[in-house]
Amino acid sequence: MVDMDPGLDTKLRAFFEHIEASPPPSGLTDIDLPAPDRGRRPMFNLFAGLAAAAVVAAGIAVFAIELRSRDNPAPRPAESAPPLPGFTVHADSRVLVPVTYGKGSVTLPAFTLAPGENVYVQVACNSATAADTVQVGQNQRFGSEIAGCSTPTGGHGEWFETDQGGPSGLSVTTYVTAGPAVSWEILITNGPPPLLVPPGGRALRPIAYGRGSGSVPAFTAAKTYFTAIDCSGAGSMTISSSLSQEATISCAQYAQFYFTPSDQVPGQPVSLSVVASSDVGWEVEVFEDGGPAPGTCATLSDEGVLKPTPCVAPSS
Amino acid sequence: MGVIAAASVLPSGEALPDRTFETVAVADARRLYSLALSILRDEGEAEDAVQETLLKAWRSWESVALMERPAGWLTRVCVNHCISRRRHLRSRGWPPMAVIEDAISRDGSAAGDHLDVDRAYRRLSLRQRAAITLNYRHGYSVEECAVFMGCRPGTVRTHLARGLATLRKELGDG
Repeated sequence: MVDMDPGLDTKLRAFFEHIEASPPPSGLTDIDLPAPDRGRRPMFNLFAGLAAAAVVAAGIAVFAIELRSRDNPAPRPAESAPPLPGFTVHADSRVLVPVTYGKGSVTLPAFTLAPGENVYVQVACNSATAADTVQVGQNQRFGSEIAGCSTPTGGHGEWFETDQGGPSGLSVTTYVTAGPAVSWEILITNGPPPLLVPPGGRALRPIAYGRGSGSVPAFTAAKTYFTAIDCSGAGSMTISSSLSQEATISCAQYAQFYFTPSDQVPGQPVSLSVVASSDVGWEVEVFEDGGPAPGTCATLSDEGVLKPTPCVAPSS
Repeated sequence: MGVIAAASVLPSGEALPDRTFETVAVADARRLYSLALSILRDEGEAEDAVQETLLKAWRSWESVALMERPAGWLTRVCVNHCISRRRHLRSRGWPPMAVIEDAISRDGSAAGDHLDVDRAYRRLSLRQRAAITLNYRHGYSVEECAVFMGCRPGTVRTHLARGLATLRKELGDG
C-alpha cells in the first residue's frame, strides 16, 4: 500500500469512513428477481429452462426495472435529453474515430484499416422528440441502427465488424444518419470490445472471433474453464462444446455472457462450435479461473473477501 | 424474492458451494456501492454503476458463481464501469467546478470536516480516485489495482503519486 504522511492519512481515513457510512439505495439491496424456470433438460442453457430469447429479454427487462427503481434519485443537471452513456476504450485499442458528438446526419473522417483488422463501434443517442433512431453505415454497407434515442435512458449500441480490413487493408468512411433533433455520440476503435476476465484468470488461447457460424480451435484445460462471449447483431448465437453442452444467447443490440459447460473433464481436449446467422458477430475468450475449492463454500466478509465456510445444501 | 442459484455440481464433479446471486452479488452491493461512490462522488452515478455490475452478473450467474473470486470479478466490472462511465463528460469539460461546488453543498455524505477533503478529492481524475480508493482504502496491491483498472502497475503508481500530490497541495499537507 502507498506510503502516506500522517496528516493526509488522518484526513483521508476519516473521509473514506464517512463515505462508507452512506447506506446504499434500497433499490440495490432489496432486489426482487424473477425466478428462472430451471428445467432439467440434458442440454445446458445459459439461462437454464428459459425457453426463448424473448423470455430472457423480458426477465432482464423486469430485473433492470427493479434495479433502477430509486427512492431518492440523485439530483442531476437539467438537460433537454437523457445523458449519453460512457464509452469504454481498451488500453490496447487503436482509436480510429475519436469520441465525436453531433446532431443530425454527417460523414465522419475516413480511417484506414490494416489487413485483417476489425472495427469496434460504440454509439449512443438521445432525443427529446419522437425522431429517435441513428443509423451508422460504413462505405457501402448499411451498418446498424440504434433505436430508443427518446427513451428515458437514451439509445445505446455497440458492435464489431470482423475482417473488415480485408487482405490488404481498407479505407473506411463512416456515415451517421439521424434526424436534426437527435444528438449522438460515436467512438470507433480497432479490435473487438474488451472481455472482462476475472482477476487471476488465465487465458487458455487467444481470443477467437468471427461472424456467423464458426468454431473456437481446440484447447485443453487442466481445471475448470470458462468462456466469456460477446456477440452483436440480429438473431442469436449458440455455442456448444464437444461434450454436447450448449448455450444460446440473444445478440440483439449487444450482449456479453459467460458460459461454463458443466460436463468438463480436465485434461481432455475441448473444441467449441458456434452456430449463428451471418448477421451475428461474436468473440469468445477461454480462460481458467480455478473455481472454488472442493467442499467449501464462500461467505463474503464486510471487506469483500470470500472466506471458506461449511457448505449448505441447495434448497432445490 | 426469487433466488438464482448456480448449477449444483462443478464441472469437475465436485459439490458446488452454495453461491446464489443473492448471497454473493446482492450481499456485495454495499461494498460495491461504497467503492463506486468513492470513485464517482455522485450517488446517482454510483447507483448506476452498481446496477450495471449486478445486471451483468445476473445475466451470467451460472458462470460467475463458479469463479474462484466472484467478488474480484464484481470489483473489476464495477471499477471498469466507474472509470469509463464519465470519461466523455469530462472530455467535454463536465462537470464544471460550479456544479461540483453545488454538489458538495448538497451532498450529505461530505458534510462537516470532510468538505475540504471532498473538494480536493473531486479535482482528481477518475483513475486517480480509483487508484487511491483501491490501494489506500481497500488495501489492494498495485498489481491488483492494475488488474481491476485494466492498466499496467506503473500506470497505477503514476495515478497514485499524482493524485496524492494534488491532495497534499490542495489540503496544504505538502
